Amino acid sequence: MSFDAPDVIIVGGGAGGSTAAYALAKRGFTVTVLDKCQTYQAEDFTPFDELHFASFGALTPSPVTDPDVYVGHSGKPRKVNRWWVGNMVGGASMIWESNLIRFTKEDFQVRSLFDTPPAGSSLQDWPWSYETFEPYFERAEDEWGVSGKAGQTSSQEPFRAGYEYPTPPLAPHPSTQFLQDTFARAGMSPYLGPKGINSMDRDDCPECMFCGFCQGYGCSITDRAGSNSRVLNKAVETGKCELRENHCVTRVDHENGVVKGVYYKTDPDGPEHHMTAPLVIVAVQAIQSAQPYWALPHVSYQGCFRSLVSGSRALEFGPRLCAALGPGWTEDSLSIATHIGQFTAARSLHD
Amino acid sequence: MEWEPPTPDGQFFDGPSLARIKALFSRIFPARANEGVPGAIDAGAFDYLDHLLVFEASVYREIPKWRALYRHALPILNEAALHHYDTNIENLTADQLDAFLTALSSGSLAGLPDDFGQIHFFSTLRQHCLQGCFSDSRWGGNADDIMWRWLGYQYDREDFS
Ligand SMILES: Cc1cc2nc3c(=O)[nH]c(=O)nc-3n(C[C@H](O)[C@H](O)[C@H](O)COP(=O)(O)OP(=O)(O)OC[C@H]3O[C@@H](n4cnc5c(N)ncnc54)[C@H](O)[C@@H]3O)c2cc1C
Ligand code: SF4
Repeated sequence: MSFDAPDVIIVGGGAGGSTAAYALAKRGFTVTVLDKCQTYQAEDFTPFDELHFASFGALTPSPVTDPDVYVGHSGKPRKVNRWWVGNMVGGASMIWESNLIRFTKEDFQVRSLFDTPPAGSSLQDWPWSYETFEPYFERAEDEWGVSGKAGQTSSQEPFRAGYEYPTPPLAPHPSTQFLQDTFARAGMSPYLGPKGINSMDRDDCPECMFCGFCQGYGCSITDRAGSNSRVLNKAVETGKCELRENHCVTRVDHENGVVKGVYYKTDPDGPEHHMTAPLVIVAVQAIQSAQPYWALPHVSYQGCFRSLVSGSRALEFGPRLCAALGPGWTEDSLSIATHIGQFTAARSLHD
Repeated sequence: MEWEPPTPDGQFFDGPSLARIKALFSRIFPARANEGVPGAIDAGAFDYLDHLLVFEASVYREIPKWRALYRHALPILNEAALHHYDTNIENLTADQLDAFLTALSSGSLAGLPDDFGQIHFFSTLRQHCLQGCFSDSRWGGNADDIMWRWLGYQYDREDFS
């Protein structure tokens, strides 16, 4: 067993990569997680400070040295701050709000929801159903320690009979009752949302102290789930997984259409290194994850991005649309368009 | 490791410039003594800016840009005060400052070069004024946590009449 030539290379130790690392390590695979950032500990997020952490963007990549390049309607590239990424191992899962709602049944069948799909889009139904995913949702809710309550109202997604979240919902906010009443009067069925925030001590992580420095900040007591306090730590504890910090993957290596490994740098000005594995998982956020695959000849980027940005003007940019300028450490302003589309959850709060 | 707040090292503005910032801030977030509300002067918001602008870009990447902005814009703004009111910004009355800032905030202050960027400068001033009022006092403003005491954040609420 060697972490230099593992069974699996995982690029990115965030929400997706770390969950995969834990699942694979438990099944006995050797896993090497390459992450371009360093690990932050809970105390790194203290003392609380809105200026430092939020206004001055201490936890997100600098738009100067690690930007996204946005090409809007003017066609002129502009560097923007990637506020949706965290600049630490764990990525956005370290600064998110941790609302951990399952996909709804409808999310799996977006194409079927429309009689005619929106012009210019290539919406597809997923080849899997909610029911296929249900056991994995349950498993993720356990691993990530989700607090919540099943079956509160009909607007929640369906749960298996007898299923309950690992811990009860968080104590309601003083405004909760007012909001519930108001929405109910408007004919909706609000419910207390499931969150990866501890409502009680669990797995060495304490209950939330409602510090007020939550979304956009790191949690100073790890009661809010982040990949490194929920799954990556457990993956490493199995002895089958190693995290390599400061390893920035630059591209995927392939031969005859088969991925063989990755290239990475440990110093922005240093040489590229190479690592091989039979299986490579790239998990550096949805759109960025496509970037290291550019070198693959048989992938149609246009096709894979279209479904993400359906209906947006970015379609007009053709093949260069919608590619985030990761990985970082670059000063060039490549004329790459980034346009992150978003499906509003198909299911509203209505019954 | 706990994050180490930067230690203020020196001041950015000379005496007259600081007096001008102080005057502008005094009307961006004025005290309302009859309602018990402290203002930017009570909070020393100008001290916050005076310290902030000497920090390195490692504290925040916009700081060098802000330095250049204040160096460039404040003298031009003072020229405009001289032009309209025949006196420096720090000598304007509250009403004059209000009219001056209102015009600046909508980009309609007469006598400034076209490329001055009035709205941008006003919003930078306003942002720094509010940060100096409400941010943690470790940054040099919010003197004695006055704004937090008024808000009742970390303290019991107090009035400042
Ligand atoms: C403020 C905020 C609030 C959010 N709130 C919610 C919420 O309430 N509920 C919800 O479900 N989602 C929320 N999200 C979204 C959610 O956090 C992300 O969708 C999720 O973390 C993505 O998982 P990921 O594994 O793809 O990427 P991430 O979790 O971001 O992890 C990516 C990892 O890859 C590493 N990396 C990046 N590039 C490279 C490279 N080239 N080489 C090596 N490593 C690399 C990063 O350092 C990082 O560790 C929020 C996001 C933000 C920013
Ligand atoms: S203690 Fe609670 S409120 Fe504070 S960051 Fe953690 S989860 Fe959020």
